[in-house]
Amino acid sequence: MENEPPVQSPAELLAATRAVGRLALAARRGFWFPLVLFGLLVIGAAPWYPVATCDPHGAGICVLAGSPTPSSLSVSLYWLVAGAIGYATTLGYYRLHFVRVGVAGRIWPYVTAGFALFALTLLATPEVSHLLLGRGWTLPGDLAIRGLTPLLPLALGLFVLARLERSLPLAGFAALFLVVALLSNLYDLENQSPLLGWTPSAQWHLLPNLWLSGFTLLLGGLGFGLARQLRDRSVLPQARTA
Amino acid sequence: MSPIDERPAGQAHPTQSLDDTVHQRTRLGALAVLHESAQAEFTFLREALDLTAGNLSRHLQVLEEAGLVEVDKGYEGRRPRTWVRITKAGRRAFLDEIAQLKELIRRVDDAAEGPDRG
Repeated sequence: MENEPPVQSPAELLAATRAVGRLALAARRGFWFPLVLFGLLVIGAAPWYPVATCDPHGAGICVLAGSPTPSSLSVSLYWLVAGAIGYATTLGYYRLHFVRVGVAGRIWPYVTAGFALFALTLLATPEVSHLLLGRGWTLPGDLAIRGLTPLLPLALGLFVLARLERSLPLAGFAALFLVVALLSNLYDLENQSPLLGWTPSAQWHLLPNLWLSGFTLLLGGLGFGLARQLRDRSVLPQARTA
Repeated sequence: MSPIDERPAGQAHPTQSLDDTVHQRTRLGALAVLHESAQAEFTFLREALDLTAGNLSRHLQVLEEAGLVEVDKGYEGRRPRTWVRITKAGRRAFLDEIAQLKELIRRVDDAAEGPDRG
């Protein structure tokens, strides 16, 4: 804008103003990071999801561990600890991102949304919600049976993030992830995994459900991160001269 | 009177509502950056607006004196940094300016299409 023309039409002025505004908006976005991080945290929940114990000398014979629902306190605690660590790490990342890039969004909406989503995660985690609210609070059986309900607040969190970062592509991805999270909670995906050449043992039959959501987040985050890198190299310099 | 000037009595033409402090191209660009963010670092603004440091400082001083932005100087580690934030008045002035520009463009477009309407 240094060598600005002496006369500029209102349309040109508006277009230039919007271009530089978009430049700032694009620079402050960093949502690829929480997608990758929470994708890894979801994938990393696998050790808490064996639903049967297998006899190592029993030629693959597995016995369901009391209940097919992985609703033990350790699973619940994993989600709460992973959620808190993921959220704190995300805030730290945005802080570093601000220092590196030089432009930041407002912090309080992120903090408020984080606490609200943590409260929802508490309600969506059966063992913890029973401790806090008593046995009167129950999730619908179809939702609770696989112990993957914390994926639903995560999907809601993506919608909130899309609103805060004013990103339509992220809102579209959040809608896709909500569908995937519902599928993970409501459908036995191990029935379909043989089509991909993977037949999990009885002990690990929930892994396709867990990893479908985890890898969706991870790949989505990597895709958005790559798109950002490409845009930084090409589109942003053009926006500066618009 | 040209079609662009035709308006109900008492309704100001959009050009009358443009604020010279905000309307200036560089200052409008700075407010656009700050409107999209809570705060921006001086260097980011300088690069985004393609300005020299001195030129940007002068424009920021005009905006600060008008109460449209706040400027904070501090350190990030050992490096001196200057952060700029838009105020509520600045946000309001920016949105008003954009609205007036849109209205102006609409009137120009209407005036240009006028003769074809018969």
